[in-house]
Amino acid sequence: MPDAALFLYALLGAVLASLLACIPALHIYNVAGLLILLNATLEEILPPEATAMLFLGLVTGYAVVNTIPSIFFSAPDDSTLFVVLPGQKYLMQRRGYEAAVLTGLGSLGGVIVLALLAPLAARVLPPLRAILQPHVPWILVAVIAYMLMSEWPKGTDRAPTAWGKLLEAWTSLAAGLITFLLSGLLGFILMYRSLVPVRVAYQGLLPAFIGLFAVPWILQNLIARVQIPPQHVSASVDVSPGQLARGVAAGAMGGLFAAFFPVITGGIGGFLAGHATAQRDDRLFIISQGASKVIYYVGGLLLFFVPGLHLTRGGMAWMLSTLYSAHTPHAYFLATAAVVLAGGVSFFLLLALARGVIALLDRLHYRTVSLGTLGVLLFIVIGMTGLGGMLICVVAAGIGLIPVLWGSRRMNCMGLLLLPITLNMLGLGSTVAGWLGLL
Amino acid sequence: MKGIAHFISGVAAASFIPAAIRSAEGGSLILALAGACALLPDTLDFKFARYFEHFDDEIAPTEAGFDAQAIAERLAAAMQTAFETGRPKTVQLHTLRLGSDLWRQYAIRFSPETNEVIVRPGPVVTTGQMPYPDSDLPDAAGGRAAVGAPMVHTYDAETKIDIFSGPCFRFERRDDAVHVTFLPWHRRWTHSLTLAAALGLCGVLLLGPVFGAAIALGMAVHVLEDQLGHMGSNLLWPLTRQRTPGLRLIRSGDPIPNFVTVWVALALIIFNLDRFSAAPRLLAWSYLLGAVVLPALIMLVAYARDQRKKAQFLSSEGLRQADIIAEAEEIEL
Repeated sequence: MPDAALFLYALLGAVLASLLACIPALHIYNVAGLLILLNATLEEILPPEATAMLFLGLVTGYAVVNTIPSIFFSAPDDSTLFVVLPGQKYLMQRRGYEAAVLTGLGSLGGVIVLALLAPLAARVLPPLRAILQPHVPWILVAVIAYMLMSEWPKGTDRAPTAWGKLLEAWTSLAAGLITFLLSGLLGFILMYRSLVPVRVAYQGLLPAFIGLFAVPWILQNLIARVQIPPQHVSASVDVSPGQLARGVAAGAMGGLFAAFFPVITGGIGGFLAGHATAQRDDRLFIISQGASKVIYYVGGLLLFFVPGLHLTRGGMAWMLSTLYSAHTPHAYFLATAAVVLAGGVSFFLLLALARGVIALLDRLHYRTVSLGTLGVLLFIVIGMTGLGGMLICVVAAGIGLIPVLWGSRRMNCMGLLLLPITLNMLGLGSTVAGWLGLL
Repeated sequence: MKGIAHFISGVAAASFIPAAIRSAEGGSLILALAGACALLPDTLDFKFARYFEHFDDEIAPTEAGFDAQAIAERLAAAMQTAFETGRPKTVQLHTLRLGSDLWRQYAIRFSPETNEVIVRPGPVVTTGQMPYPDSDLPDAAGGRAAVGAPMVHTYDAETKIDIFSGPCFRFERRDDAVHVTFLPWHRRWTHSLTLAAALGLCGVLLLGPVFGAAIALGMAVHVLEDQLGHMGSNLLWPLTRQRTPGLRLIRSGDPIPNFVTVWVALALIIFNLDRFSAAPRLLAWSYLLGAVVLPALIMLVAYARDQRKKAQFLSSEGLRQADIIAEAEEIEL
């Protein structure tokens, strides 16, 4: 197939994903999973190299535009978790559109970083992988240790005794640890005894992620009766080129780390990058999250194309690996060009779609929006994963509410992936599963 | 320095032990343990020691009776007493919680130019520190109280008191002036090389010499890194009682030193993982030059230029307090 035709597939993917990304909780991996299932039927119009380009477009469009449900509907996925809080801050200041533009600029920056790194990737990444591969288990343990140890107490220091103060402070820390352990336990159960039907096993984590990350935010908004003021669609954003570069650089670090290492998601990468660059500016933070999630999602899939690396990271790459394998320099640079094209188109679609969502918010009460979002989430869970998935979602939402109620970090919910996979890598997974009666 | 810089430095320090790398390759968590030990000094301070600090006064304002003038006067009185009696006074300011997600913000500033304590009432904020528009207290005036003793120029920004726990100040007479110390419970016994050595020794006895060395190195790196800043630590507690002033090379909250530390530590970890592997791949000198020395040099030169401009506006005591405050403002996500 000629290259120009392949680019059309990437464009189609970007447009389709940009529209779908506005639907809360509908992850692009689920859409790609459906396409894989339909592959036998679609083979004539969707040969493997076209599927690869379509997937690149899909993942790029999704990574750029999925900021919309996080900012406007408070329904994040695991990679946009940290956009919600600053996003809500901006929403309350009538600047939701600006927040969307800032993440979009960060995403564009992320696409540029990926393009700039393309000539180096084939030379740098294979030896780096060879050096780090034997050390992945302890690196994951180090990430977990840092995540848990770096959470600070959130007591008010008002108890009359020292021990009372200590107990009060440790309530939120203990809530964080419990959240991590419970979500890890849920991860173990889903890994060994998922309630999701076998035919949709590739969507096994969907209800858990929705329950852990999206449902608690929406419930919190409903309970707190959050109302947002009319939004202002500004013609410019308050950020200098230097700040933009710093935000993108920070996000790039986190995104690359997340894309390269197994289990580390864009959210965790963004969190580590935020700490490493000591950011205290909301704008930089939002930009960095935009860059981080694009590099995590898109960079993860691009790694699949890097000649000589043979690295399959992320759901999209795993699905694509069942159909396609072309690790030539031509395929890699074609893929990078497709990402740049899809990224540019998705950015402009983000602007248009953000305006559309703001027009919708102007007409509807935010409570209605929150209830509608909750309805969509539950519909997707039950529609895709059935009653078993719904049960997982309810249990996950219960765990996801612990950080909301006790003021600990929501990121501790990432125990869902981190705990079982790290223990598996350390060779302890089956032992723990045995203790839990899951074998 | 920020937690992540300490953590990754601890891992980097332990990665210089060849046996630690070989053991990590075999599944041991020794390097992760060194990172955790590098976070230990701040963990002990911020999660334990602070709750056992004795306060001479605790100021707990209420929404109904918020009186900025009274708060300013109590702080000024504590400073005056510390000056007159020569005995240090420690005052804890509490936050003002209005609801599960609502807090009344107020701010304190010590002004050496006018020798005053200034208190300013603020808006209602959420736990995300987002202010609600038009939520200022009706008819609430700010408070100002003169301190009847000279005050050493200290951290010159406002200290905002809003969510969770409030700050703690220690007023101490040194020579002919009152010094204001923020968070007096920080960087005392927990930030000592003697404690690092003692814990390392425990590690040797319980887990063996390689683990012991990794634990001691992890903790010691934290203490030494903090020494690059202005405040310094009590390096040889219990042999010494006071903090040894820092080298004043960096400010612990600044992004560039933190980022350089993380970058250099990561690059050194990769270098050591390769160097002690069965089949090293990196060209040592070109890697060290390209991945460690050059990037660090470029960033540090940029930082030094930036600092030279800023230093004109801050006193050394102000920089010391800023150091402590920056650590207390750990990024919370």
